Amino acid sequence: MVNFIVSCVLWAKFDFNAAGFQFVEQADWLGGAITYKMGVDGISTPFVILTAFLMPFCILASWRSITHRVKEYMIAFLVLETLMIGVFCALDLVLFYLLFEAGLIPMFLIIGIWGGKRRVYASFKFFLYTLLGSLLMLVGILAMYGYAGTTDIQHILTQTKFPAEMQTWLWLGFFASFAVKMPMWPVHTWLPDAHVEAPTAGSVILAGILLKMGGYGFLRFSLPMFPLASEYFAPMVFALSVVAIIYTSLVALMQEDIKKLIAYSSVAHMGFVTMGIFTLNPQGVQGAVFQMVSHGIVSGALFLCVGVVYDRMHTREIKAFGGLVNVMPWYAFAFLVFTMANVGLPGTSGFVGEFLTLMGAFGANTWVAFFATTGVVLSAAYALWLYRRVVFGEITKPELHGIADLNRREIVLLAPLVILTVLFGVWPAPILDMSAASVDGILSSAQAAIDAAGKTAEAVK
Amino acid sequence: MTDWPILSLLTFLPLVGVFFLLMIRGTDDASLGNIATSRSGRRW
Repeated sequence: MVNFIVSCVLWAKFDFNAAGFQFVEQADWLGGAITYKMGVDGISTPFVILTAFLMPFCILASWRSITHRVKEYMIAFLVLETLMIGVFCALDLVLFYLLFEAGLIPMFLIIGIWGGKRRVYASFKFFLYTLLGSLLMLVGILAMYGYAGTTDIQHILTQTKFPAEMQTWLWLGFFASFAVKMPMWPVHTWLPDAHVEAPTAGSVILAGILLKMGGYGFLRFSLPMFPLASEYFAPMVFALSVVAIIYTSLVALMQEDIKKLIAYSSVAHMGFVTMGIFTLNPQGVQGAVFQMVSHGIVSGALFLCVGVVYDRMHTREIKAFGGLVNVMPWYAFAFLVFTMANVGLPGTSGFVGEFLTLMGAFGANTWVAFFATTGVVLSAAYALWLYRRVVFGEITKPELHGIADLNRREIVLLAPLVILTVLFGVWPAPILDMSAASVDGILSSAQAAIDAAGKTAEAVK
Repeated sequence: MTDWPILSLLTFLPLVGVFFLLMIRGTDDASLGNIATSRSGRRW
């Protein structure tokens, strides 16, 4: 909670008009070549604040559900918070990599110790997928150090122009890591298992923050450092994103487990993010940033909603529920708001992100926008079907008659998220204004590099 | 912008919480077993 207050100070002192890094701190580390350098811009600050904001909810959500090794559980979450905030603040490639990788350990423990029945399988799958992807990024970082002679992100962004062929390989190395982390189709299969087996708070952090590290990585490294490769690979990313949106939405329609359904919907929503980022236009990229923040709030809230009924019924099977609105009206209301935001209903935060990314995609490629829009229809289908089966109708299961509505702790847990979901739906300016200058800065430098490469190619002809 | 290292504070503040938690004696079986072992001096 204290950390969230400090993050609010960061927000208050943040200069919305500056495109560059702010609050930069630097100290020598590891022989001087690798430095401890921290700083934030309009892209990283929303994620720092989101991390600090979501963490108290995770602690509160675990209040009753975690009964063994509580101390170690809390330690794992606090260490994870340090590592996640560090990732978003790091301005040194090696520091970024260390924090990015170290975040796997507490999450591995959270799933592996406090998870469900298949927790060991899910935790190993999560660990191996993300670790293997990241090793290619490490090779890329070493190559970047060899070429630029420094691991200072700020220096590389402003002073270093990688040759086109080198950009291609570096882009692929970083893509391997971030695509698994997002996760993008077809390397998404670790996510549903991890979500299903993780405790509620683990799912909240996984969906709310950890997935966003992939999108953040694309924005921090791929776009500004390898602009030529980003432009070259954009059609491939569009194709993967559209497949993710449509395919995982169809898979979500078939799910019988509430958590698994939300996990697949997360993959589909992350498809909008990758699509938006690689449109290389302001609407798409700002939409992607907004979509990530919005998804962090909404999917986190949906997992908290699943946790509420799981704590009472000890099952997440959709068919075990039905008619909850009759006995849990407050729960039904909160779940409705988050479901509508998941669908992308105007007036909720989900709409703004999807609309902007689709608008950006329309500017880049009409067919991509067309196919991605079908994903919006499919998301309405699976989300509303889930809501109907869980909340509406008559109560047919006798054990549901005695189920209690939200208690005070759960209201405290869900009310701020309901307010934020609606607030950002009607007033998205705090996030859009914060990221606007940095997004413009990244896109203008990327466009300049692409134009320069085009002119050089013409001159050679 | 600011004189104090706000980002380092944000990053490492949770570790202060970890430090306090480590000071608390655990109540689970494994912790109680460790305490009993160290009191009896068997670990040394």
